[in-house]
Amino acid sequence: MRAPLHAAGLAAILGALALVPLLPINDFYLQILFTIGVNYLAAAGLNVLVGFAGQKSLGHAGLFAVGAYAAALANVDFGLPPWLSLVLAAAMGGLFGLVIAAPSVRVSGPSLAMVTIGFGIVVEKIVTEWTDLFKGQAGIYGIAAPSVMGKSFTNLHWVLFVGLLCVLTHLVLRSLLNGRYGRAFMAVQLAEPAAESVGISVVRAKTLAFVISAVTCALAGALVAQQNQYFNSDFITFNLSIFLLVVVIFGGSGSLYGPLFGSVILTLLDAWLARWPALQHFTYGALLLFALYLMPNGIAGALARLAPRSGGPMRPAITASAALSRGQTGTSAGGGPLLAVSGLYKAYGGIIPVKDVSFTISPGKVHALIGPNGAGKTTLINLISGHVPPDRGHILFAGAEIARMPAHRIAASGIARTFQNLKLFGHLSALDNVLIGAHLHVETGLGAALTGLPANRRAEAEAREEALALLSELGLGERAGDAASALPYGLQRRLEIARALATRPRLLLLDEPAAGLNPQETHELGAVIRRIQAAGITILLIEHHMDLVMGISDHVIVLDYGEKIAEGTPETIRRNPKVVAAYLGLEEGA
Amino acid sequence: MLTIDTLTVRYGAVEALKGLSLTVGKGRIVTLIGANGAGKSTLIRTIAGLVRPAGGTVMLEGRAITGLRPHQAVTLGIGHSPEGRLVFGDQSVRDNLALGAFSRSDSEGIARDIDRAFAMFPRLGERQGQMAGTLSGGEQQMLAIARALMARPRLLLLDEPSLGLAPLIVREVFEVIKALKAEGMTILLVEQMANLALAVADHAYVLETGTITLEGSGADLLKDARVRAAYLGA
Repeated sequence: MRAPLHAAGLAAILGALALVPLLPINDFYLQILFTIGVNYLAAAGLNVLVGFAGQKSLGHAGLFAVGAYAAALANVDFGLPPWLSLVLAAAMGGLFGLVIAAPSVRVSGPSLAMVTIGFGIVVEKIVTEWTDLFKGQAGIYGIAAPSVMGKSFTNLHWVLFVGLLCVLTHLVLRSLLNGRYGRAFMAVQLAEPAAESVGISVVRAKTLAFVISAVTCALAGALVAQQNQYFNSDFITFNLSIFLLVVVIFGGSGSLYGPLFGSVILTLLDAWLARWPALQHFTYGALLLFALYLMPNGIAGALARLAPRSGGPMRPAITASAALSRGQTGTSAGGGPLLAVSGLYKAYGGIIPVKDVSFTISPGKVHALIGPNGAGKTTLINLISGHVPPDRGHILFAGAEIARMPAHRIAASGIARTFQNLKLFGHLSALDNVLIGAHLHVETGLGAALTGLPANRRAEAEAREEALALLSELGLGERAGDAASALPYGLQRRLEIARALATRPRLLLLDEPAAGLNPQETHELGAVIRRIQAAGITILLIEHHMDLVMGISDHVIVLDYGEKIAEGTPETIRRNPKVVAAYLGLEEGA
Repeated sequence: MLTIDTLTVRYGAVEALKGLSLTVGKGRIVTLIGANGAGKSTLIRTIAGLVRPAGGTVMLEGRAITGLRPHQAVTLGIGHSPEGRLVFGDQSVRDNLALGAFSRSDSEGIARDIDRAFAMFPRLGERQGQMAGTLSGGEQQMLAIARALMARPRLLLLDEPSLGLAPLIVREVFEVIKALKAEGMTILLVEQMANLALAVADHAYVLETGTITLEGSGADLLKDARVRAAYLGA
C-alpha cells in the first residue's frame, strides 16, 4: 500500500483506539475488540510463515499454549511479575519456534503440515495429562494481569494495550517484509534452488519465519491467559490451529493486510455465531469451501484486484556498466586460476554424469562447456554452484576449497548462476526478481529492517537503481514491472542473467543462455556477454549455439559421457576429430 | 488442414495475437519465425487448447475447434510438443511415451511406436527405465517430441524442438521432421533456429508483436533481406 494511504489508515486505527475510552462500550464489546487484537497478533506472525515463507503449519495452537502456560506458570508458580512473564512467554515462543523449524528443513508441503499437527497434538496432550504442572482441565487460577501505576489492567486497558501492540507488530512486520527479508521469504517459497543461488540461506529464512510466527503466537496466548486470569487445557485444541490458519488464508495470506481482514471478520462472525454453537464449525467449513473458491487469494487478494495498478515505465539513474562493475575488485594480480576443478566425481546409482573431471578457469576470460546432451554439463555446473554435492574431488575458488559447501555460501563467495530449466520467482515482477538477486548487497541488518531506519530505506533505493540498470542492460527495462512468468521464454532467460549479475559475482555460470533465442537475439546476447566480461566478470557458459560459443569464448571444454574429451581454443576444438564425431557432426552446424 | 482466421488472444490488457490469420495445408510443413514475445508460442498454445482466444476461429479440416479443451484437441489428432520440456518427471522414459498414447487403445501399435521412438532417439532407448526428471535437459527435449508423436497426430505442433539440443541432435531432429512429412504428417513448427526451420518449411510466416508481417515459401524468406537482418543475424 502506498505511503500516504498507509499513514491515513494507521491514523484512523489509532484515532479509533483513542475514542474507545470515550464511548459507552460494555465489557462484551471490549472483549470482542480484545479478541480481534489477539487473533490479529497470532495471525500476523503466522502470515509471515504461511504467506511469505510458504510453510504451512497446522500446529500453532501448540505455540499459543507455550506462551499462555509460560506466562501463567512464571507468575503463579515462580512469582515473577506479569510484565516479565509476558516477555518470558514471547521468548519461550521463539525458542519453540526454533524447535519446530527444524523439520521444515527436511520436509515440505503436506509432510510439514503433518509434522506441525504432531507438534500441536503433543503439546495438547502434555498440558491435558501432566496435571501436576499444567493442572489440566482444572486450569491455573489467579494469573496476575500487568498493572500501570499500581492499578491492575481493566478490560479497557487491555483493549488499548493490545491495540497498540497490534499497531507496533504491523509496523515492524511491514518494515521487515517490504525489504530484503520479505523478498528472501518469497524467494524461498517460490524456488528454493534459485534462492540459494543468490546467497539466501533457505534454512535461516525458514527458521526466522518460524520464530517470528512463534513469538507473536506465544504472545497472543500469554495475553489471553493474563487477561482471563485463568487458563486451562480446553483452550488448546486442533480447532485453534485450524482457526488461526483460516484467519490468515481467508484474510489473504501473503498480504500484509490479510490478517487484519481475517481477524476482524472472523472474530465478529465468531461472536455473532456464539449463540448457535452448532453453526460455528459449519460456517468455517463453508467459508473455506466457498470463500476461497470465489477469492483464491483471500479478501486482501480480492481487494487488490479492484485497486488500480500503480506503475508505468521505470528508468534507472545509473548506467549499466556502473551496475555491472560494482563489487569487482579487479582480477587478482597473482595470475593463478580463478577456479580449479580436480578429480571431480558424481554418480547417481549406475549413471555417472561427472567422472573424474579436472580443468581450470582463468580470471577475466570466457570459458565454454560443450558436449552432447546428457554429457554431464549441467551436473558439473550444479557441483560448482553447490546445488549438488560431489562424491569426491576438489573445487578451489580463488584458492579456497568450496566443494561440499552449501549453495548459498558459494553464492556469497562470488559465484552466480542461471538455470537451464528456468527457476524464476514466477509471479513476482522482473524488478523484484533482480532485487532478490541483490539480497546480499542490500546492506541492512535484521535490526534496521525491523525498525525501518532511514539506512534501510536508502539501501533499498540504491538496490532498486542498480536492479533497473541491470534490467535495461539486458533489454528488459520496459518490462521491469511485469510478472516474470508473463515474459516470453527468451526474456525469462535474460532475466535470470540479470538476477545472477545482481549478486555481483566474480564468476558467472550460464546454463544455455541462448536457448530460445533466434540468431539475431543470440548475436545480441554475445555482445551482452562481452560487456559482462569487460566489467571484469569471468564466465563459464554451457551452450549449443556454436556460432556464439566459437565467437566469444577464449577457451572451450568438451565433455562426453561425464568425461573431459578435449579442451583448448575454439579453433583447435573445431578441428578436433573426437569433438566432431561426438558432438559437432561433419558439416559446420548452425 | 488448419485454418486460422482473425485470431485474437489477450492476457489481461496485453493483446498477444491481434487478428492473426494463416493456413497450414495438408501434408505440409509451415513455420513461424519471429522475435521473443512476438506471439508464436501463444498461437501454438491456442491451437492446442491451452489458451482461450478472445476472438476469431480455428478450423481443423473444416471443423471449428476454437476454444477446445486440450484433451479434446489430442483426440482430434493434434499433437503438441510444448516449449521448455514439460515431461512427467517422476515417470520412466517408457511410461512417458506410453502416456503420450493415452488416447489410443491398440497396445501392439503403441509398443511398435515406442520402439520407433527409440530408433529415432537412441539416447532415449538407452535410458528407457530412467525417471524422466533425471534426464539431461536435451534428453527431456527429445522425450517431449517423441511423446507428442505417440498419439499419432495428424497435425503436429512443435514449439522450439531444437531447444537445448546438441548440434548433431538438432540435425537429426530436422531429419525426423522431414521423415514425418514424407509420411504425410502436417507440421506447424515454431523454431528459433530460423535458418534451419526455413530450410525445411514449405511455407513460412513472420510474426511481429501479434501480427503477420511477411509470408512466403521457406526458400524465399531465407533469401529475404529483411528476414536476414532481423532474424538470421546476417
